[in-house]
Amino acid sequence: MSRFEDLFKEADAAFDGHYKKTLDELTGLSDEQLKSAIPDTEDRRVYDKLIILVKEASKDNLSKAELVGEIKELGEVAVKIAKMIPSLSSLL
Amino acid sequence: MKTKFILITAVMFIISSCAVVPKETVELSTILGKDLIILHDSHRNMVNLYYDQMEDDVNELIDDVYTPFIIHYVLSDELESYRKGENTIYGIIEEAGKTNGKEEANAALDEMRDFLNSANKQIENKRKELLKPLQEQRSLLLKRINASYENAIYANAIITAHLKSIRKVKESQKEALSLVGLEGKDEELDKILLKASKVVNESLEKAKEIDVKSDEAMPKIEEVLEKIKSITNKK
Repeated sequence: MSRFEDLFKEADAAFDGHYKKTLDELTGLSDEQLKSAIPDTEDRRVYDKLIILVKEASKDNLSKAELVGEIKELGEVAVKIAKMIPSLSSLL
Repeated sequence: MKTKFILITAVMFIISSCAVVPKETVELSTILGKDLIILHDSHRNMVNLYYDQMEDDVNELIDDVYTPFIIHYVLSDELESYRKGENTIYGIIEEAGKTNGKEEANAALDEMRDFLNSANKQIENKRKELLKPLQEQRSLLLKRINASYENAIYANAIITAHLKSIRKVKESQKEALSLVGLEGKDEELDKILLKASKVVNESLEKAKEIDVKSDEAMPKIEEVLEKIKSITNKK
Protein backbone atom coordinates (compact mmCIF):
# COMPACT_ATOMS: atom_id res chain seq x y z
CA MET A 1 0.00 0.00 0.00
CA SER A 2 1.38 3.44 -0.97
CA ARG A 3 1.81 6.36 1.36
CA PHE A 4 -1.11 8.16 -0.29
CA GLU A 5 -3.43 5.15 0.05
CA ASP A 6 -2.84 5.23 3.82
CA LEU A 7 -3.44 8.96 3.92
CA PHE A 8 -6.67 8.72 1.93
CA LYS A 9 -7.92 5.98 4.27
CA GLU A 10 -7.24 8.33 7.17
CA ALA A 11 -9.11 11.09 5.30
CA ASP A 12 -12.02 8.67 4.78
CA ALA A 13 -12.24 7.92 8.50
CA ALA A 14 -12.22 11.67 9.23
CA PHE A 15 -15.03 12.17 6.69
CA ASP A 16 -17.15 9.39 8.29
CA GLY A 17 -16.85 11.11 11.66
CA HIS A 18 -17.57 14.57 10.29
CA TYR A 19 -20.55 13.61 8.10
CA LYS A 20 -22.03 10.78 10.19
CA LYS A 21 -25.58 12.20 10.18
CA THR A 22 -25.59 12.71 6.40
CA LEU A 23 -24.23 9.20 5.83
CA ASP A 24 -26.89 7.69 8.10
CA GLU A 25 -29.58 9.38 5.99
CA LEU A 26 -28.23 7.78 2.83
CA THR A 27 -28.39 4.15 3.94
CA GLY A 28 -31.91 3.64 2.55
CA LEU A 29 -34.66 1.89 4.50
CA SER A 30 -34.18 0.43 7.96
CA ASP A 31 -34.77 -3.32 8.39
CA GLU A 32 -38.19 -2.61 9.86
CA GLN A 33 -39.15 -0.25 7.03
CA LEU A 34 -37.90 -2.74 4.45
CA LYS A 35 -39.92 -5.53 6.05
CA SER A 36 -43.08 -3.43 5.94
CA ALA A 37 -42.43 -2.48 2.28
CA ILE A 38 -42.03 -6.09 1.12
CA PRO A 39 -45.42 -7.53 0.09
CA ASP A 40 -46.31 -10.38 2.45
CA THR A 41 -48.29 -12.34 -0.12
CA GLU A 42 -49.08 -16.06 -0.26
CA ASP A 43 -46.30 -18.53 -0.96
CA ARG A 44 -45.81 -19.51 -4.61
CA ARG A 45 -46.29 -23.20 -3.72
CA VAL A 46 -49.83 -22.49 -2.50
CA TYR A 47 -50.57 -20.71 -5.79
CA ASP A 48 -49.12 -23.59 -7.79
CA LYS A 49 -51.24 -26.21 -6.00
CA LEU A 50 -54.46 -24.26 -6.58
CA ILE A 51 -53.57 -23.35 -10.16
CA ILE A 52 -53.09 -27.01 -11.09
CA LEU A 53 -56.61 -27.81 -9.86
CA VAL A 54 -58.26 -24.84 -11.58
CA LYS A 55 -56.37 -25.58 -14.83
CA GLU A 56 -57.60 -29.16 -14.69
CA ALA A 57 -61.20 -27.95 -14.23
CA SER A 58 -60.82 -25.51 -17.16
CA LYS A 59 -59.51 -28.34 -19.32
CA ASP A 60 -62.54 -30.45 -18.39
CA ASN A 61 -64.87 -27.57 -19.27
CA LEU A 62 -63.22 -27.08 -22.65
CA SER A 63 -63.54 -30.82 -23.34
CA LYS A 64 -67.24 -30.61 -22.43
CA ALA A 65 -67.72 -27.58 -24.69
CA GLU A 66 -65.91 -29.41 -27.49
CA LEU A 67 -68.08 -32.49 -27.02
CA VAL A 68 -71.28 -30.42 -27.03
CA GLY A 69 -70.02 -28.65 -30.16
CA GLU A 70 -69.34 -31.95 -31.87
CA ILE A 71 -72.83 -33.25 -30.99
CA LYS A 72 -74.31 -30.02 -32.34
CA GLU A 73 -72.30 -30.43 -35.56
CA LEU A 74 -73.95 -33.82 -36.05
CA GLY A 75 -77.32 -32.09 -36.19
CA GLU A 76 -80.71 -31.89 -34.51
CA VAL A 77 -81.22 -35.67 -34.30
CA ALA A 78 -77.87 -36.12 -32.54
CA VAL A 79 -78.78 -33.46 -29.97
CA LYS A 80 -82.14 -35.13 -29.33
CA ILE A 81 -80.48 -38.54 -28.93
CA ALA A 82 -77.82 -37.07 -26.65
CA LYS A 83 -80.51 -35.60 -24.42
CA MET A 84 -81.86 -39.12 -23.90
CA ILE A 85 -78.50 -40.44 -22.73
CA PRO A 86 -78.09 -39.60 -18.99
CA SER A 87 -74.33 -38.96 -19.13
CA LEU A 88 -74.74 -36.59 -22.11
CA SER A 89 -78.04 -34.97 -21.18
CA SER A 90 -76.37 -33.28 -18.22
CA LEU A 91 -74.17 -31.44 -20.72
CA LEU A 92 -77.12 -30.12 -22.74
CA MET B 1 -84.87 -38.33 7.04
CA LYS B 2 -83.03 -40.21 4.28
CA THR B 3 -85.44 -38.80 1.68
CA LYS B 4 -84.84 -35.31 3.03
CA PHE B 5 -81.06 -35.75 2.69
CA ILE B 6 -81.26 -37.09 -0.86
CA LEU B 7 -83.60 -34.31 -1.96
CA ILE B 8 -81.44 -31.54 -0.55
CA THR B 9 -78.25 -33.07 -1.97
CA ALA B 10 -79.85 -33.41 -5.42
CA VAL B 11 -81.12 -29.83 -5.43
CA MET B 12 -77.74 -28.50 -4.25
CA PHE B 13 -75.93 -30.50 -6.93
CA ILE B 14 -78.21 -29.17 -9.66
CA ILE B 15 -77.79 -25.62 -8.38
CA SER B 16 -74.01 -25.81 -8.26
CA SER B 17 -73.68 -27.44 -11.68
CA CYS B 18 -75.84 -24.75 -13.28
CA ALA B 19 -74.09 -21.72 -11.75
CA VAL B 20 -74.73 -18.47 -13.63
CA VAL B 21 -71.58 -16.93 -15.12
CA PRO B 22 -72.44 -13.76 -17.05
CA LYS B 23 -70.02 -12.69 -19.79
CA GLU B 24 -69.24 -9.58 -17.70
CA THR B 25 -67.52 -11.88 -15.16
CA VAL B 26 -64.92 -12.76 -17.79
CA GLU B 27 -64.66 -9.08 -18.75
CA LEU B 28 -64.21 -8.05 -15.10
CA SER B 29 -61.53 -10.66 -14.59
CA THR B 30 -59.75 -9.53 -17.77
CA ILE B 31 -59.87 -5.88 -16.65
CA LEU B 32 -58.54 -6.89 -13.24
CA GLY B 33 -55.65 -8.70 -14.96
CA LYS B 34 -54.79 -5.58 -16.99
CA ASP B 35 -55.02 -3.34 -13.92
CA LEU B 36 -52.77 -5.67 -11.95
CA ILE B 37 -50.11 -5.20 -14.64
CA ILE B 38 -50.52 -1.41 -14.40
CA LEU B 39 -50.35 -1.53 -10.59
CA HIS B 40 -47.24 -3.69 -10.83
CA ASP B 41 -45.54 -1.11 -13.09
CA SER B 42 -46.60 1.70 -10.79
CA HIS B 43 -45.31 -0.07 -7.68
CA ARG B 44 -42.02 -0.92 -9.40
CA ASN B 45 -41.66 2.68 -10.64
CA MET B 46 -42.17 4.03 -7.12
CA VAL B 47 -39.37 1.82 -5.80
CA ASN B 48 -37.07 2.79 -8.68
CA LEU B 49 -37.81 6.49 -8.23
CA TYR B 50 -36.97 6.27 -4.53
CA TYR B 51 -33.70 4.41 -5.07
CA ASP B 52 -32.72 6.51 -8.12
CA GLN B 53 -33.06 9.59 -5.93
CA MET B 54 -31.06 7.96 -3.12
CA GLU B 55 -28.30 6.96 -5.53
CA ASP B 56 -28.24 10.47 -7.02
CA ASP B 57 -27.85 11.87 -3.51
CA VAL B 58 -24.95 9.48 -2.82
CA ASN B 59 -23.21 10.40 -6.09
CA GLU B 60 -23.73 14.10 -5.36
CA LEU B 61 -22.24 13.66 -1.90
CA ILE B 62 -19.24 11.78 -3.30
CA ASP B 63 -18.57 14.28 -6.11
CA ASP B 64 -19.35 17.52 -4.31
CA VAL B 65 -18.45 16.84 -0.70
CA TYR B 66 -16.39 13.67 -0.25
CA THR B 67 -13.87 14.22 -3.08
CA PRO B 68 -12.88 17.80 -2.09
CA PHE B 69 -12.86 16.78 1.60
CA ILE B 70 -10.38 13.91 1.28
CA ILE B 71 -8.15 15.72 -1.23
CA HIS B 72 -8.02 18.72 1.04
CA TYR B 73 -7.31 16.48 4.02
CA VAL B 74 -4.37 14.71 2.34
CA LEU B 75 -2.89 17.90 0.87
CA SER B 76 -3.13 19.65 4.27
CA ASP B 77 -1.34 16.73 5.87
CA GLU B 78 1.33 16.87 3.15
CA LEU B 79 1.73 20.61 3.62
CA GLU B 80 2.22 20.18 7.34
CA SER B 81 4.85 17.49 6.70
CA TYR B 82 6.51 19.72 4.07
CA ARG B 83 6.79 22.51 6.60
CA LYS B 84 8.49 20.05 8.94
CA GLY B 85 10.97 19.26 6.18
CA GLU B 86 9.67 15.77 5.52
CA ASN B 87 9.46 14.03 2.14
CA THR B 88 6.18 15.17 0.53
CA ILE B 89 4.50 15.76 -2.83
CA TYR B 90 5.21 19.49 -2.45
CA GLY B 91 8.91 18.90 -1.92
CA ILE B 92 9.22 16.54 -4.90
CA ILE B 93 7.34 18.94 -7.25
CA GLU B 94 9.39 21.87 -5.96
CA GLU B 95 12.59 19.95 -6.62
CA ALA B 96 11.50 19.17 -10.19
CA GLY B 97 10.70 22.86 -10.68
CA LYS B 98 14.05 24.02 -9.40
CA THR B 99 16.20 21.61 -11.38
CA ASN B 100 16.08 20.75 -15.04
CA GLY B 101 16.82 17.04 -14.45
CA LYS B 102 14.82 14.22 -16.07
CA GLU B 103 15.06 12.11 -12.92
CA GLU B 104 13.46 14.84 -10.79
CA ALA B 105 10.74 15.37 -13.42
CA ASN B 106 9.97 11.60 -13.48
CA ALA B 107 9.90 11.50 -9.67
CA ALA B 108 7.38 14.39 -9.64
CA LEU B 109 5.28 12.63 -12.29
CA ASP B 110 5.29 9.34 -10.32
CA GLU B 111 4.32 11.17 -7.13
CA MET B 112 1.43 12.99 -8.83
CA ARG B 113 0.27 9.76 -10.52
CA ASP B 114 0.38 7.94 -7.17
CA PHE B 115 -1.62 10.77 -5.58
CA LEU B 116 -4.29 10.72 -8.30
CA ASN B 117 -4.55 6.91 -8.42
CA SER B 118 -4.89 6.68 -4.66
CA ALA B 119 -7.48 9.50 -4.63
CA ASN B 120 -9.54 7.88 -7.41
CA LYS B 121 -9.32 4.45 -5.77
CA GLN B 122 -10.54 5.84 -2.45
CA ILE B 123 -13.34 7.85 -4.10
CA GLU B 124 -14.66 4.86 -6.06
CA ASN B 125 -14.38 2.56 -3.01
CA LYS B 126 -16.48 5.02 -1.03
CA ARG B 127 -19.01 5.29 -3.86
CA LYS B 128 -19.32 1.49 -3.95
CA GLU B 129 -19.53 1.27 -0.15
CA LEU B 130 -22.47 3.70 -0.06
CA LEU B 131 -24.26 2.47 -3.20
CA LYS B 132 -24.01 -1.27 -2.47
CA PRO B 133 -26.60 -1.45 0.36
CA LEU B 134 -28.99 0.71 -1.67
CA GLN B 135 -28.58 -1.51 -4.74
CA GLU B 136 -29.12 -4.63 -2.61
CA GLN B 137 -32.26 -3.15 -1.03
CA ARG B 138 -33.65 -2.13 -4.42
CA SER B 139 -32.94 -5.54 -5.86
CA LEU B 140 -34.55 -7.38 -2.92
CA LEU B 141 -37.61 -5.15 -2.91
CA LEU B 142 -38.12 -5.40 -6.69
CA LYS B 143 -37.63 -9.16 -6.62
CA ARG B 144 -40.29 -9.62 -3.95
CA ILE B 145 -42.69 -7.13 -5.55
CA ASN B 146 -42.26 -8.79 -8.96
CA ALA B 147 -42.85 -12.25 -7.49
CA SER B 148 -46.00 -11.12 -5.68
CA TYR B 149 -47.50 -9.43 -8.74
CA GLU B 150 -46.47 -12.23 -11.07
CA ASN B 151 -48.23 -14.76 -8.82
CA ALA B 152 -51.36 -12.61 -8.64
CA ILE B 153 -51.37 -11.84 -12.39
CA TYR B 154 -50.83 -15.49 -13.31
CA ALA B 155 -53.49 -16.70 -10.87
CA ASN B 156 -55.94 -14.14 -12.24
CA ALA B 157 -55.16 -15.27 -15.81
CA ILE B 158 -55.97 -18.85 -14.77
CA ILE B 159 -59.24 -17.69 -13.21
CA THR B 160 -60.09 -15.71 -16.37
CA ALA B 161 -59.34 -18.78 -18.50
CA HIS B 162 -61.52 -20.89 -16.22
CA LEU B 163 -64.41 -18.44 -16.41
CA LYS B 164 -64.01 -18.40 -20.20
CA SER B 165 -64.17 -22.20 -20.24
CA ILE B 166 -67.42 -22.10 -18.25
CA ARG B 167 -68.80 -19.52 -20.70
CA LYS B 168 -67.75 -21.73 -23.58
CA VAL B 169 -69.67 -24.68 -22.14
CA LYS B 170 -72.72 -22.42 -21.63
CA GLU B 171 -72.51 -21.08 -25.18
CA SER B 172 -72.16 -24.57 -26.68
CA GLN B 173 -75.14 -25.70 -24.61
CA LYS B 174 -77.20 -22.74 -25.84
CA GLU B 175 -76.33 -23.44 -29.46
CA ALA B 176 -77.17 -27.14 -29.10
CA LEU B 177 -80.47 -26.38 -27.31
CA SER B 178 -81.48 -23.85 -29.95
CA LEU B 179 -81.01 -26.58 -32.55
CA VAL B 180 -83.79 -28.64 -30.94
CA GLY B 181 -86.02 -25.63 -30.24
CA LEU B 182 -85.12 -25.30 -26.56
CA GLU B 183 -83.41 -21.93 -26.83
CA GLY B 184 -83.51 -19.98 -23.56
CA LYS B 185 -84.66 -23.02 -21.58
CA ASP B 186 -81.37 -23.12 -19.74
CA GLU B 187 -81.88 -19.53 -18.56
CA GLU B 188 -85.40 -20.41 -17.42
CA LEU B 189 -83.92 -23.35 -15.55
CA ASP B 190 -81.37 -21.06 -13.91
CA LYS B 191 -84.17 -18.78 -12.70
CA ILE B 192 -86.17 -21.73 -11.36
CA LEU B 193 -83.09 -23.07 -9.59
CA LEU B 194 -82.36 -19.70 -8.03
CA LYS B 195 -85.90 -19.60 -6.70
CA ALA B 196 -85.49 -23.19 -5.52
CA SER B 197 -82.27 -22.26 -3.76
CA LYS B 198 -84.09 -19.61 -1.73
CA VAL B 199 -86.82 -22.08 -0.74
CA VAL B 200 -84.24 -24.68 0.25
CA ASN B 201 -82.36 -22.16 2.37
CA GLU B 202 -85.53 -21.05 4.14
CA SER B 203 -86.56 -24.66 4.71
CA LEU B 204 -83.16 -25.54 6.11
CA GLU B 205 -83.37 -22.62 8.52
CA LYS B 206 -86.80 -23.84 9.66
CA ALA B 207 -85.55 -27.44 9.93
CA LYS B 208 -82.74 -26.32 12.25
CA GLU B 209 -85.26 -24.81 14.63
CA ILE B 210 -87.30 -28.03 14.96
CA ASP B 211 -87.02 -29.74 18.32
CA VAL B 212 -86.74 -33.38 17.23
CA LYS B 213 -87.77 -34.67 20.65
CA SER B 214 -91.05 -32.77 20.71
CA ASP B 215 -94.41 -34.18 19.62
CA GLU B 216 -94.67 -31.56 16.92
CA ALA B 217 -91.39 -32.62 15.30
CA MET B 218 -92.84 -35.03 12.73
CA PRO B 219 -95.54 -32.68 11.36
CA LYS B 220 -92.97 -29.87 11.15
CA ILE B 221 -90.45 -32.07 9.32
CA GLU B 222 -93.21 -33.15 6.95
CA GLU B 223 -94.06 -29.50 6.34
CA VAL B 224 -90.45 -28.69 5.45
CA LEU B 225 -90.19 -31.74 3.19
CA GLU B 226 -93.41 -30.81 1.40
CA LYS B 227 -92.05 -27.35 0.73
CA ILE B 228 -88.85 -28.79 -0.78
CA LYS B 229 -90.84 -31.34 -2.77
CA SER B 230 -93.08 -28.59 -4.11
CA ILE B 231 -90.19 -26.93 -5.91
CA THR B 232 -89.11 -30.19 -7.50
CA ASN B 233 -92.74 -31.15 -8.36
CA LYS B 234 -92.32 -34.49 -6.57
CA LYS B 235 -95.52 -35.09 -4.65
